[in-house]
Amino acid sequence: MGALASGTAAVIGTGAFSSVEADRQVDVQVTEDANAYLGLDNSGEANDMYFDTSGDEYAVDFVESGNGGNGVNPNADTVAEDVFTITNQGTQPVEVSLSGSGDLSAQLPGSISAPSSDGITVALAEDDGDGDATYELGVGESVNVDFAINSGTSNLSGTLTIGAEAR
Amino acid sequence: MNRRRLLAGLGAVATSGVALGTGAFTSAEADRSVGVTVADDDQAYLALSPTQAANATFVNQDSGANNELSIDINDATGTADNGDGVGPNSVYEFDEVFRIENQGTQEIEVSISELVDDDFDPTASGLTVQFYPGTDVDSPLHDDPITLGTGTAQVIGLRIETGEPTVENFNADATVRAEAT
Repeated sequence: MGALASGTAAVIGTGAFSSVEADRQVDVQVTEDANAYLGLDNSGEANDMYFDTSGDEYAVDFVESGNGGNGVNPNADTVAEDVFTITNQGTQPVEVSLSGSGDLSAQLPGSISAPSSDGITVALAEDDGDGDATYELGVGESVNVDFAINSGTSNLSGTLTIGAEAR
Repeated sequence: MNRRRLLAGLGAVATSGVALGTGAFTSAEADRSVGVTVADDDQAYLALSPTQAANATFVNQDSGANNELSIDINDATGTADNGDGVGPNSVYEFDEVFRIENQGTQEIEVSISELVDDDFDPTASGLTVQFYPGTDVDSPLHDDPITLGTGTAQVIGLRIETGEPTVENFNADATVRAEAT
């Protein structure tokens, strides 16, 4: 293996050098979520009250409702649709997928319902009808995100991973 | 293959790689936190609390479980004669027992399930419990949901009809359901 590899490398590299290092400038503009290529922003619906856009990195937080509510009821199932929206602000169509960790788990697009035991579920609000767990988002298109909660008497937390792959 | 053709081939691959890279992004992944606060029942999005009226004596709030509200017709602490419950073959109406307030983000329709014999443990015979808004006993909430805008509240009463059940303690869970309109 060693002999073969060095022989091949020599042919491709033409033998002028065995390694080279050069620094080149890379500019990465990190923007707040609303302006990113994979844009995350308020849905414009009533439940975007639970989408916290106060920092550069947004979060979902079911706490104050703005109408006196301080959280979900104990021992209850709560569904909150259209909490935030994902927009494809890039230049290619993408397949959007959701996954969760901690107390959060993802459901198929368009199928939000509370989990059967204490926890949080998340789903894209619409199904694109192609039978898989992703949602195709054209350039400039948006899809909302729904949540559901089965609460006991303890607070819940999790991490939502939003993925987007060019088609 | 001579060296020149091999290098040309590599160049072509590199060029197509550059072409793929001109999209603004090929894949993206972002982790965001999700938090849920469980409030006390009387502070939650669908706030459930005792009224200020006399019949609030039948309401219990479990301080060990976020003030979860329950109703106990067996053990009223405020009645003058310390009665033990409802009698057989009777219809009782309890106005203004508890209160529902919409502290969420949307206008809702609220219904509460009716409880009949099989719902109870132990199974009852001829026992029905219905919930009604205000004093409107003829419009029970399992048939006629009420609409509550955000920040508005409704007091709720109980209508209990007893057939000839044995003298017993009957327990059941009623479901309060709120749907955005």
